[in-house]
Amino acid sequence: MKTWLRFSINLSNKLLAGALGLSLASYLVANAQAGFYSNFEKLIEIQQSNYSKKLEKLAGSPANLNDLVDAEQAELDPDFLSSMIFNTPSRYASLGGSDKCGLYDLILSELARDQNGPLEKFIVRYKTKEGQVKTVATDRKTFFEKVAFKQCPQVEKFQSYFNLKNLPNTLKTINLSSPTSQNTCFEMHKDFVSDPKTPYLCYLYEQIDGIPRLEREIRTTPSSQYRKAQKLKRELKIAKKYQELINPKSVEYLGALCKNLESSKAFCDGFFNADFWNRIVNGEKSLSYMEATCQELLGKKNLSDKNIEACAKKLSQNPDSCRFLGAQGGVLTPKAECDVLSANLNLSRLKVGNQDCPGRVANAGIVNITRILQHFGKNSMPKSEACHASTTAAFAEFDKNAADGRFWGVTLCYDDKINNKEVCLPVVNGEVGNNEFSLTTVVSKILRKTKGLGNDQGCKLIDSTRYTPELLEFKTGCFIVMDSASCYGNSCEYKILLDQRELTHIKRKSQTDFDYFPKDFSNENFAQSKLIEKSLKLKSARVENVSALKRVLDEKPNALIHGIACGEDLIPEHFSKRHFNQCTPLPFIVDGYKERRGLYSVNLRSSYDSVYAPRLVPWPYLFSALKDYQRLHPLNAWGLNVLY
Amino acid sequence: MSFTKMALIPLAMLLMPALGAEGDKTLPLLKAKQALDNIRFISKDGKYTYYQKRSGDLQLATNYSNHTVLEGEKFSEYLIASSPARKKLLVSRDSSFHSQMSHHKLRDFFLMDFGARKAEQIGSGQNPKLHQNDSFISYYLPKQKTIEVKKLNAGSKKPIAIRLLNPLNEYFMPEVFMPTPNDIIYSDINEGGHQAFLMVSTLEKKPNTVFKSAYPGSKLEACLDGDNLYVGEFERGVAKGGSKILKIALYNNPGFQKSEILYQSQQSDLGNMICSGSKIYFIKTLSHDKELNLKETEVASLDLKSQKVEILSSLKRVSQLLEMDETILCPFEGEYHIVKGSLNLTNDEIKRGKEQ
Repeated sequence: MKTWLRFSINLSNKLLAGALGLSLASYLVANAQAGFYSNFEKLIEIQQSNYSKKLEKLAGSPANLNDLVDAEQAELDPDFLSSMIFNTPSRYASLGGSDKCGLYDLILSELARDQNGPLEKFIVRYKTKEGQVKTVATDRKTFFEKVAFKQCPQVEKFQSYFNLKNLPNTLKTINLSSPTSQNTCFEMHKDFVSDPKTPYLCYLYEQIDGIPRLEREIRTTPSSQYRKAQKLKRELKIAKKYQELINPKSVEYLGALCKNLESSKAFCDGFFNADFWNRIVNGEKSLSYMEATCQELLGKKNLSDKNIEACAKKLSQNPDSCRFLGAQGGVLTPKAECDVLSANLNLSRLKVGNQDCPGRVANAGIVNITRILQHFGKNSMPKSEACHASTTAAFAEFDKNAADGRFWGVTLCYDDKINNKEVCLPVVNGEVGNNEFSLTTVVSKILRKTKGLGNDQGCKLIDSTRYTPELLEFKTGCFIVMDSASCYGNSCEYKILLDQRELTHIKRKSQTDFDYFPKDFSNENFAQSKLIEKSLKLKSARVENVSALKRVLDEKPNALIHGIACGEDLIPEHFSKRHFNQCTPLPFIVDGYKERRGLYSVNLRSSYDSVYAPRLVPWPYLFSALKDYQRLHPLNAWGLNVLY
Repeated sequence: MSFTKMALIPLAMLLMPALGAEGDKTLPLLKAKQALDNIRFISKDGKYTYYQKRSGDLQLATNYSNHTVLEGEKFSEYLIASSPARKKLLVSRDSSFHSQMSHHKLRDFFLMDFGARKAEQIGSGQNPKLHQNDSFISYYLPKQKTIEVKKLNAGSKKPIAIRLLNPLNEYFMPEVFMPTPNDIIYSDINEGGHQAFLMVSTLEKKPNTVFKSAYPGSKLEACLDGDNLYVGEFERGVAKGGSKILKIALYNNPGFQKSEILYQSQQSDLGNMICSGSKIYFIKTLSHDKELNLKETEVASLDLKSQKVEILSSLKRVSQLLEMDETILCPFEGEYHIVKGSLNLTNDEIKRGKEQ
């Protein structure tokens, strides 16, 4: 019944204006008192009977259609079409509803069926040379060669893209990307339904999905049924070839699409209402989103696949576990409950790497900038044991390239006695591999200049809790003894020891002031927002209202919206205003939105939030927060811009 | 600024007719001749108006003249706090408001007599507050996670330092109250995420828990009224415990066992409690669309005697509530709505009528 309804709505055209309409009309009139359900059941019986009778009547060798004058005039018999509609799974019937060519794509993809299975016989109606209307049964090959390919030449070409020979190249051209917002998802679904590739893709999915069934059937087919077994084996071999060509994630994607062709909501729910923790287990999303939480929850540093699965289950069952766990590096707590986080993460598009420790970086502007760099940039964050050092090193690198090192002012300085001047080298408060800003690298470099440290010698960073001067290993060489617990991005307590003598000739300076958005016209080009645009070659535009926000996130799949607003209005459950015109400027990133009955909330990460914990902020709060910051801004600037 | 213009500033707080306030039929709007964005403090009688200039100066407008109170760097931002004692004003200055966004950043503090023209620097920190008839000041040092309490005019005497436990929230700002010169009440967070109010005597130095939140992650607020502490517990996120406001006697109450619940709600209110007269003003949540995390919130008052709750606004999305010299204001979308104002403010409107 469902099949008929859907397809009749979609096709509502010449193809169906025949027996189906007549059957329905006559039957409904005759049985006006009966319920609709029984009417349709009966209708199916009538239709099948009409079709069987017609087939019987046309039995014999298939017609060769040699007397067909004009292929354009030929059409499939209404009873044949009705039978096909009734027997093809409803979700696939909808794929053939756009026009005649779409219907042929559906038939060629092998998804269309009649009561006996895949379509082998076709009943065609056409005019002969003599002007006589003739109805004949013909085989698949004849129908396509003499009718379908003549009417829709592109269908023939298209079909060839999906044969086994061409399939590997064809698949390379198909992009199955995850939608970035619910609206884009609905649009994507609409495009899929009208895309002639979709029937073929769904056929591939059906074949791969049918592998377990084929294997079972092969196992249970008695050896006496040799032919059947051989046929099944051939089918399995082809299905496995398809499986080799399509990765499991894409198969899963196609499954979601092909099972939900009739419902864009069901398709999109799979992306936006699925349990995010399960998406991590399935390998669809990075483990980093829950790694720290799971390490704390399970009390294990190294997580096996089983641990990850168990953790995801716990997070789903116990939503409170996400509020405080995995909050290292100083993030705003409590975070949202796991179920809320899961929903927010499903809305999110920000590309994230490792934890960025906003509290330890202690500069909200730097946190926001490095998150944007991470999203749009090609380089991943430099790795460090101290995650604040990883973030600040990324910023220092960006600052060096974009602004000649003008704004990263955490430096170590020494007197260059030859040139009689103070030399200051930018540094980050931690060891960052071979990075030029790594504390050990910079101190070693200075000691080579000032204390004759050999090129083969370097300084080692050691936590004050592990430094034991009595041990032989600490007697000679250069050590930077650091109190890691009190170490932040812009300030840190440490001693530099060379052969156990503390060095005092290296001075530390810390100045990390910069404008995030321009606050005067003279330095406009040195505002970080401008440097990001220039350096990453991004376009930018002001986002003045929620319609613009929605539009830009829908239309630009990689776009991010960034801004500064008063933290007290943005997250009032955490921050209170106690004074007239109080405002704490808080940078943030918006990377999604949710809409319900004309009301909007945005998916937002403030620079205090964990990069793994976006929060849903109602648009009115964001608007108020922006408005209040604008009132205090020297240029009265509106602090909400899109980057794309 | 011209003399005529300056003279109008103290008269500038006008109560707009109720229906004139767009989007709100209940609360009047605060209007001033001087741009509200520059104003940092107006006394309840409208006599003193402190405002900042783009140059970084803090100015006082009073008695038909203006004076430079402090000079600062360009684009400096000021905040001014007073207390019910109205003896002193506490000014804090952020010299890098737009260029340094660190939660560790310290603001410079300046102290002056109420309505004075000059202020004196007394230290730096965050969230400064006057206590005990304006004879003490408390402030917070975020990097050290330490509250310091200092007696004013005590020379070089070291401040009392209280180090917080708070292992969970880098951005937590403790609340501090001083019921007596020897007792300090402050808020902290434990390893489980429970907030609590603790009372420490400067003599004993061992803190006692006055109230601990029932739910981890709940926000605690309080206000002090004589020997009673009014505590509000407001759940964040998906409400489990909802909200409640209770009264705890600070003395003759062993172990702070006895408390009286004055208000309870299933909704998680935003809070921002202000005790004023016989009422507690706070932001109440009327409904919560959990899917959008969208709350309908309004200013409400709780009568301490009748325990009756009254909704005072119809703004739908109230997020903040603050007090400035006994005037209670609700900032909303760039404007200030007057929730509770003094008679003098009404007098200003009469004066405005005369001017026109």
